[in-house]
Amino acid sequence: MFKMKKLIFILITMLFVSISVGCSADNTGGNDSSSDNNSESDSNSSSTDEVIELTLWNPSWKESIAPGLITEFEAQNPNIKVNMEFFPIDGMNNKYLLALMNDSGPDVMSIAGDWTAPFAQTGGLQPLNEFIEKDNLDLDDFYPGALQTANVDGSYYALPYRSETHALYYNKTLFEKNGLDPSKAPATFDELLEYSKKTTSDGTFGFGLVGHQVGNVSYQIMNFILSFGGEILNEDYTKSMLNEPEAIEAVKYYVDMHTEHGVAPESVMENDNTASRNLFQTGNVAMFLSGNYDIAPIQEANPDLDFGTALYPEKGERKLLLGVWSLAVTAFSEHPEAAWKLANFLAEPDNSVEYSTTFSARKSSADHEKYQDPLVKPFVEMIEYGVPMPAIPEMAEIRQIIHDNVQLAMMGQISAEEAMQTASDEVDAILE
Amino acid sequence: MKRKLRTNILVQSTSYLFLLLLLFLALFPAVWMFITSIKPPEEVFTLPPKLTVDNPTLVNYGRVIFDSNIPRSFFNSLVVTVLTTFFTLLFAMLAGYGFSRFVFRGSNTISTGLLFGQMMPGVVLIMPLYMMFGKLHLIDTYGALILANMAITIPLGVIMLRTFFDTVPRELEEAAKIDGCSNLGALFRIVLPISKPGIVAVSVYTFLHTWEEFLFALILSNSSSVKTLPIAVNEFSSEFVIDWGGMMSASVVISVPVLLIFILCHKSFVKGLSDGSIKG
Amino acid sequence: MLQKKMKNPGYSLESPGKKTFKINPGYLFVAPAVIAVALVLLYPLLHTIFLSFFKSSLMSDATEFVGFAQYIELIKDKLFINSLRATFIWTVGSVVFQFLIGIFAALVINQSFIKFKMLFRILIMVPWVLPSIIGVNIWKWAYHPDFGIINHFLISTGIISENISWLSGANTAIISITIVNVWKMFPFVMLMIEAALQSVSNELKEAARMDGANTVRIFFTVTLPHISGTCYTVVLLLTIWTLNAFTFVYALTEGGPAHASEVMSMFIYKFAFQNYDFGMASAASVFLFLITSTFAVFYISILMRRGER
Repeated sequence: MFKMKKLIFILITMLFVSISVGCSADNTGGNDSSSDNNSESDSNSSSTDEVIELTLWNPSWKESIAPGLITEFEAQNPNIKVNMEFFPIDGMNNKYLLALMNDSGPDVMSIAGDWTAPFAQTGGLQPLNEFIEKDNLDLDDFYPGALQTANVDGSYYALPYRSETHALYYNKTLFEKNGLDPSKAPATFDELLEYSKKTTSDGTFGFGLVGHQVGNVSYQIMNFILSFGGEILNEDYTKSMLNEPEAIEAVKYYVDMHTEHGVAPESVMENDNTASRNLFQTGNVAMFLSGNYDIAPIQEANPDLDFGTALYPEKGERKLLLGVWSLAVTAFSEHPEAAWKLANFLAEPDNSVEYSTTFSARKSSADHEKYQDPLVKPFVEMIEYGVPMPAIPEMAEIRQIIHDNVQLAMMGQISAEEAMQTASDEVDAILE
Repeated sequence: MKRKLRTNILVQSTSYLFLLLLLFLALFPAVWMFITSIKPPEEVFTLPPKLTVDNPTLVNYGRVIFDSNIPRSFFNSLVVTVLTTFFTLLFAMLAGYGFSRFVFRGSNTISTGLLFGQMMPGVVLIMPLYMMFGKLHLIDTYGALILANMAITIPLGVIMLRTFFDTVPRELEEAAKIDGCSNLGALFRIVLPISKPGIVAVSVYTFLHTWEEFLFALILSNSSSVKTLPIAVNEFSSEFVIDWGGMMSASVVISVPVLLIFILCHKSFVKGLSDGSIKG
Repeated sequence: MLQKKMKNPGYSLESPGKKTFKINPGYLFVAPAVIAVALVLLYPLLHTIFLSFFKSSLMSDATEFVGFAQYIELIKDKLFINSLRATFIWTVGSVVFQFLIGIFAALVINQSFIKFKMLFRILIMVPWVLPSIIGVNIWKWAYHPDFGIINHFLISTGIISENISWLSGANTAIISITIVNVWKMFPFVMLMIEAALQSVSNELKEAARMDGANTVRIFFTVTLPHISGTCYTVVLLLTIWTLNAFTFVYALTEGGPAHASEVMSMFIYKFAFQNYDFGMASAASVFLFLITSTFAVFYISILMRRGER
């Protein structure tokens, strides 16, 4: 009896070992065979029988979009095979940075516009000027704000494929229920507060304020500061402008929505952009500010929801952040030519419409039929008011500082003035 | 006498009451997980939350099994866990036997060092490990995860098996050695077969530990062909924040193997663990 | 244990004639494990200590020797001090409640009249067996401010009047993660103490009862002295594990809101992998390692003493 059991145990163990060895060899083959075969494949790169394997890192929300485009790319380039990996936004920046610092990453990565400068300065990204010249890529077709993020000390380190701004979502049914005109969205920040108060009633909240996730909170706050006429940093990025009256006023408005007026859901400190959208699509929140990438998920999750979109609220001159995503080629890629081909392919006008969940970064795709939907129109209109985020390596830390201090203010531990003064001092200390 | 009987009943009933309360606290979260996992999406978000399910469904499980990376991660976890357990057991068996049966210079220092190693915080190790594995081109491979996990599991494995081997009488081995058996032969033919509870304990401990290991996997794996279940489940939650039903189903899927193993082996495991970590 | 070895010195001294050219087989047996541990444990530890003396920069590979400067910088860093405070609350809170609930559970379940012992034991062990990340998911869902079962329960029983944001309140965040940690680990305490209780002799207890001692008195005079050794080691183990714990903090609060629950392991993680400041992160790691080691030294010395007995 005992022997029998032992035999089975040994057999199972051997089975597992063999499976796993076979498998791990197989899967590391994807990344490692490139380093083993590279001398060979590089010299033969013109011949088509040698298959080049590329790895592409995507944000997780590309999981349903990327495969189709990649199939098309592989059909056009039969000698290139693309392996894709998907990463959630939480910790994505850290993961990418770690990979670039240790030369252990992919060939092409899809990165946020404000990461380009710090990533380039680690030496982990490949300058693309040579390729751009060789392929005669028309840089004038990119929105200048988007292109600006890719330019680090005169070289281009990435190709923008997506640009976007936030605008307002509002729930028409909740507007009507609370005696508001469902065809008229709040146009100014004063109106936004007034409407938020009116739509806050039993179980529903007026405004989907965001209080969680460094990237989301700092983005929302910077949008508010710019809209209120403030700035994040001075022009040559040497000093913080976060303690200027406009910035303080903006943050005070943001914080007060929660602490003073109670128009934000109780879970505000746990809500990132996605959580706000979830509350909006279940009808628990009447308004929130986000990009047009949220339209499709809302319609999918709750087809009955009657909602509209409108321009971002204004206060004087319109100005807000232009969000950018780009494709970068890593410096340690064994196949820079093929990697460039892939990046360039995804950034092409038509493909970038597909690959970006919002807007292409190319002017020539502005008339694309996808962008004629009335729900999308306000977002298109907002793009011209968009300005890119300061493109300096310290930006990640600065956003963390903004997030930390705004959170403290939202929890009522310090006032908005104190929060912005502290934040400003901390940012100055970094920039020194 | 009567009074004593009454206090006895009182003691007995409060004891049972306390145990039931404890049982509730221990199990309710797991039960709540299961309930949520079989709720259709529209029932997940109800105010107030409901303890019952009107229309139980398996759609959440369907999504997890056919529409996510969870199955692939399940496989990755299985590979990493089984191999870690195998190597830990092999190394710990040899070393446990060495410490138990031989006197050699430095033996005390080394075994104390191992005890110490078992207490090392993962965050202290992970940075240098990352750099080292980076140089060896092991980042994002099963090998990196297995090696890193062994750092934590080998020390306790050695300690537990050493304690166990100490209780095995030497006379048997000596007899075998007179019959011409080598040291290694004595270990495998004589000592191991009667040390089954100790071996089970080390295996189960290593299995449980590796199956749930989070930090190393978070830092050392990038691709879905390497990511283990805890990472996949965690990413699952940040990808579809709303999908609590799906998350709970994924959680049930990852819990079942460890629960099964624990229920099957708990007797030897409990004994081995208390002997190993408490008696030293 | 040591004495036993002296009396029966094993095989190495068995044939002194051959000894000259033979390596003690003990070394061969322990070598694989020792090499593996040296590679993945000792080397990383030494490397961390080494790194803590060098200033590293995000943008270049160049490092600069700075001696103890980063340690001094750390002590002045208010976020580091904050992490010490959070670590203290998290560790003391976790260990005290894990231990008290655990020992009480063990005493109750160890009573002779309890039936279905095995069943109770296995079921109560479930939280400890479940992977931590599962505990995270379950509790995150239970703590949810709007749809969570905990707020619902507390409101419907009238204990609180409005929903609490458990994981995102400045004061509740650390309490909430501590509760999860207690839930996960108290079964381990129960298990260990119960194993120790089984060795307490019933005769002694009976004798004390004959002398008129009540249950409480028996516990303190007979039972407790007997299990005190186990109690020490369990508390030390819990302390070490809680100090090292990462998953709960990372996956439940990420140290937030605004650093309120940022324990040392989380602080180190952020420094290393968000700011990419390996130098400072290493210095903080050495601090954590020293704290953990202090407890580990106690733990090991207890084990050693018992081994010699």
